[in-house]
Amino acid sequence: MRINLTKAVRPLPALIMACWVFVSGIAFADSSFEKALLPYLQTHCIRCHCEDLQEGDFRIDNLSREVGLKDTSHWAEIIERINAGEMPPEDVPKRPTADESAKIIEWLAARIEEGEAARMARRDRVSYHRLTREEYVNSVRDLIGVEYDAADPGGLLEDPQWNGFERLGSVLTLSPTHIEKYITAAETVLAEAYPDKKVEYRDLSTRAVNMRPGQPHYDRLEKAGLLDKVRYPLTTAGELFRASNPFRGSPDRAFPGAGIYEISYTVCGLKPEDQRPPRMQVYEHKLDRVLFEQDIIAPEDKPITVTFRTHLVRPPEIHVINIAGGPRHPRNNGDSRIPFITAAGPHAPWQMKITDEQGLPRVPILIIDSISMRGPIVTEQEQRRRDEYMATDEGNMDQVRSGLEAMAKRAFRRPLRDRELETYVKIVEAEVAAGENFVDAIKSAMTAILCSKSFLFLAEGDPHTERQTLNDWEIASRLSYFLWSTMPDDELLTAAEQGRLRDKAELRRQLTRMLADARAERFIQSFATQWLHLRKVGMFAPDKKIYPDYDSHLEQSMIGEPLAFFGEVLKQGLTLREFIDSDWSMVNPRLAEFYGLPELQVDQFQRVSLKPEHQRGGLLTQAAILSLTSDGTRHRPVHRGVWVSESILGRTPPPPPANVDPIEPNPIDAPKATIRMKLQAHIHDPRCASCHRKIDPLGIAFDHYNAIGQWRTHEQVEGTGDDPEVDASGVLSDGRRFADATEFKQLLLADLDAFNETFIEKLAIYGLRRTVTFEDQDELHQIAKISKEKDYVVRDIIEAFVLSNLFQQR
Amino acid sequence: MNIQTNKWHLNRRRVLRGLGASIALPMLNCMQPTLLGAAEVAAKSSPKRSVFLYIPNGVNTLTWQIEKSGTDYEFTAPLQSLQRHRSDITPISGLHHPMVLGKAHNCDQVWLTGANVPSSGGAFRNTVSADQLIAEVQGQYTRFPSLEMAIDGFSLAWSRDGIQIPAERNVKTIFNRLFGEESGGKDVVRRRLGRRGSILDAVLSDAESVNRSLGSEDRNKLDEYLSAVRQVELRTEKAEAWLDVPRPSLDGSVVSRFNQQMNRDQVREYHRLFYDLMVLALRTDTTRVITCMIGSEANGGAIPDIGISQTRHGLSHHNGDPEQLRRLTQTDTFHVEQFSYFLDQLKSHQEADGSLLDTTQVLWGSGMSYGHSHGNANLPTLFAGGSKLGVKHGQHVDFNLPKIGKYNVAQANEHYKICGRPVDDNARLSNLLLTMVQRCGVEIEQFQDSRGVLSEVVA
Repeated sequence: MRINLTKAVRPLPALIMACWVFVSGIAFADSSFEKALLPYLQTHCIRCHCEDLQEGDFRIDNLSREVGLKDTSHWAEIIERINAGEMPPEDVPKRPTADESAKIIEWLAARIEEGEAARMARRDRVSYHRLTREEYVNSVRDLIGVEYDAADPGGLLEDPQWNGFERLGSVLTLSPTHIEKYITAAETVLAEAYPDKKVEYRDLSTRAVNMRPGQPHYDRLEKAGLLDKVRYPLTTAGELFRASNPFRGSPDRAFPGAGIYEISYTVCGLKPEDQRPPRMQVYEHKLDRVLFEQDIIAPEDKPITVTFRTHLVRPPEIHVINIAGGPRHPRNNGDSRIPFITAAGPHAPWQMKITDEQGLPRVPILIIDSISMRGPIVTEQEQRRRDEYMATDEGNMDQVRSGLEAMAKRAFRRPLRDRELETYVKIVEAEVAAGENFVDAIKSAMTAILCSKSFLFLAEGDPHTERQTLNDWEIASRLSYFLWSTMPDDELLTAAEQGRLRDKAELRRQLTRMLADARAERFIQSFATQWLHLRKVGMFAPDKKIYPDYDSHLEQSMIGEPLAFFGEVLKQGLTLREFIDSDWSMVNPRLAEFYGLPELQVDQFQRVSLKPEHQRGGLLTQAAILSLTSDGTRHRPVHRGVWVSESILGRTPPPPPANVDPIEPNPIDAPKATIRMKLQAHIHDPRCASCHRKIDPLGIAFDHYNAIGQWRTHEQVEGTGDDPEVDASGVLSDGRRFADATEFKQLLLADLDAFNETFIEKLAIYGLRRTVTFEDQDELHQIAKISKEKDYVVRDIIEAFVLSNLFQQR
Repeated sequence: MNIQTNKWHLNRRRVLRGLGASIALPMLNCMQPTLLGAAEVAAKSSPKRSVFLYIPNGVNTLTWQIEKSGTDYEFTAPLQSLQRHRSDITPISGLHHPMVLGKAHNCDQVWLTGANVPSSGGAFRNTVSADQLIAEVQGQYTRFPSLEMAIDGFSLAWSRDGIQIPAERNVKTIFNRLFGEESGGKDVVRRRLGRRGSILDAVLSDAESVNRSLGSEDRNKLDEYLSAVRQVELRTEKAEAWLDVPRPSLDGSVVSRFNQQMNRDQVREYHRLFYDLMVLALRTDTTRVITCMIGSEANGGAIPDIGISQTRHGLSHHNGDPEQLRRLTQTDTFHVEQFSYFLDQLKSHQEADGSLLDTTQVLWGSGMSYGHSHGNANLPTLFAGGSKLGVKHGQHVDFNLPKIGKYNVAQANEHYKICGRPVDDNARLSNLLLTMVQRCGVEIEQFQDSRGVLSEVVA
């Protein structure tokens, strides 16, 4: 188990030959300190590191025997020294064997892991779990109906991670800057919810090209009745269409104000045979935000309308780009002084023809007809909530009280405590006394509500008494943030108010209802991303020279696959086995092309069947997973092994000791060698070999896939001679053999219980927002048992977790 | 009743109670009994400035290593641009942070703290960074106690509580925070700050009421929240105290330069914009402490200007490929050139009797030396400026040579060993950090695991 603050998420170098020791995150202490450790210490260590000699100013005899709980830094140091072979020193008469030392290290490391997990999971009388950035945005949206652009420059900070998880209370820290940003965010949100001037809803359209009298060709087109048929073509990736904003021209067409807008484009897209279709990207360049991106296929006489929503605070400055277009050159541009009506139509003499003799496109052509925007869009419920919180009569403090109470209650996800409301009412009084206008004074109080601990943190427990089980309100929040990443809705709050949420039948009913809701997509996205470490995809940008076809479209397609795959497994009632191996996957057209699957037409993720020759199936051979365990240039068998070990088998190998000799580079003129060969050449040190034997095979099984997950039979490497053939065979530490990834997956399938336990542990970490410890073992085993009885159906595992006692405990 | 003045002034006891007794708080002007103008306070102190610049992923140590110690050393190829700053700079070889050896993935986070990163990963709580110790002393005289920025990547600065102080990556945002006038005029701003004050008061009293009923061991996260809110109170108070001091007036051309939209592919220009902004912040005494992460450890650092398309991280894992090594040296050279440019700019600003560089000590370095196998001993370290702070330059300070006799970079693997394991256990980066904080008036005798000051750079 390892902390990965975002900036720290970097794989280890490929060839590091260190001693990895397998420890299970939550293993039983198999024997006592006295039995497991003491004899070794007495024989080999304490003679020098005792009270009398204190060699190196270091005593072992007086260290706490509660390894993992006390004196951890000293015990860690001891691991390092033994691990490094420095201790016991070479000049002592009787040195322990490598095996004896390895056992001791393994025992110590396991205890330290347990202690670490226990510390992170430590429950204070009240546990505070800060909302993640995503949860904050969702919660504010539900509370007051305003979308906050938290990821924009100046927005909220990114959240730190731990083993991919972004929502652990102990890891989510808070700095003064966070508070300042929360204040700014609250002020921004409230300014939009309660604008100074009334905001009009407007729905405006404009043609992409507006012909005006006096422009070249105007008269000709007018005569031919074609003035409203002029369109804007995009044929190269460098051209920008900039005229997307219909909010201009006159005061009654002005941009209404901040809010959510629906934007539609009427477009055609001409796809050349054997080339990719035009791909429309709508980009707000001032915000540096891609608002929409999609392949467009539609003939010139049958334009389609694409629609999306986005949050805008000022008139949009939008560029539309055909990112699948060819390289930019004036001659290749579809646009010229001659108004464009059809791709086959007249073009300037200096222009390349964009269609061939048959009138078929020679390049991907995107054609924009018209744009419309409507907004701001506020739903009835959103408006009702905003109205509920705000006093209508100037100076009416009763209204202030009831409004703030309604807001605080929803924001805090529980009834208010005695006199809790007073804090906020007093702000209004003080602000009014200081000369502030009534509405702004109320907004100050609302800002305080949005910055208070009770909104920003999910609190569990009671400040006055020890309480280990959750109350109904806390269960409502846990369930809601688990499945929807947001605050409980009215129905959940009502159930909590009526004290029904500790009843398992009610919980089951709520779970069914919530999983059927569109917001459950957030669980799919969020949990799969965190469990599988998908934020690492693209972290090391693949080398352009080696992988020229890799671009952000491919990267997004890669990331989309495991997410859609997880969703499909959940929604179709499939089992954990699908994650290991499957004869289907979820791909979009770009990924289908990348995998060499039959061409797809519709630009969305869809289920396709896989044949053995496609060399795919399950999560492990998906491009996203194979990429995130690579470094952009080369595949990394050791990283892949660590990933399989952590994410599938639930075992965390500790990192290498500090003083391994640096890896010597491979001479450029040496015969070509695969990374596997180099790995093996480096395992000469028995301290390294004993551990790498356990970890490397888990990664070598995937050697047939390169650093961006493409299938290959030979590894392309530098050096002299032919590229060497891939050897993906290996032996697991229990002796079972496999020839390649396909066989390896079968071995994993034959032993599904390890994965079952791991999956449940990940689910629990995500749901409980804390690490799991030894004390949770019985409950976790219980869920694993139910999972097995239900044949590992993922939907049933989630239900078993929600209905478990663990889910109702802190 | 007057929020703007009396009530809103904090008393020192309350602040100390909030921050914990272990924290030596500078005498902030908001706590002074009489209203001493912020500018008057600033005038009373002669500025001691510090800048910390971090270069990710180490360097090509084979071409980097200066081979001779003392005053008649020769700059190696990537360092050539520093020739003109020879009398203002000290390259240092052999420094390391003992507690992070071999644990390479957090080395940017502990570069200025020297803290222990658990080898098993584990929940990681950092310790305070050197820049923040300096900010506690020097920061009381300036509008902003410290400035955290990153061209790419994350912050180098960590609070007393070991919490990362986030860095801003957007030049325009930083510029407007430092120099932009708040909209609405002084009274409106004062009113806004007053309002912020009462909001903070409210959330604080709400949280404190719970905190009182929790046992002292029981309030980790709540304490973190309380401490953060109190610090924002201080910042708000400070902003109010500075309200009567006009922001430095700047030329329109300067304002537009920092507000333009930058092309990040023009790396040289892009980096220089950051360096220029640092110079501006220092020269106007807007802040005296700056940390800047030059690049992300993970995925930044391509330099199309000089034909480098790979990330710096990619290049650092060169596997001995001569072409990759050549390019790594090229990027090292590039970054040192920008550093030289920064020193030029600091020098070009004359103050009372010397240049801005004389009152500014600059540390440029990395927490990694031999990136390919994550060797982090013999850290590349350049120390410059600060002569008026009692810093001395002109020689290559080398802690390896007394033990190894001479370098032999032709034997790459031998040199890589020096970069992986410290030659001299006492040659600690913390010694230099201790020296730097002491130069700025921080009264401590020990920083992290320091073994004493680096007397070689003390005049």
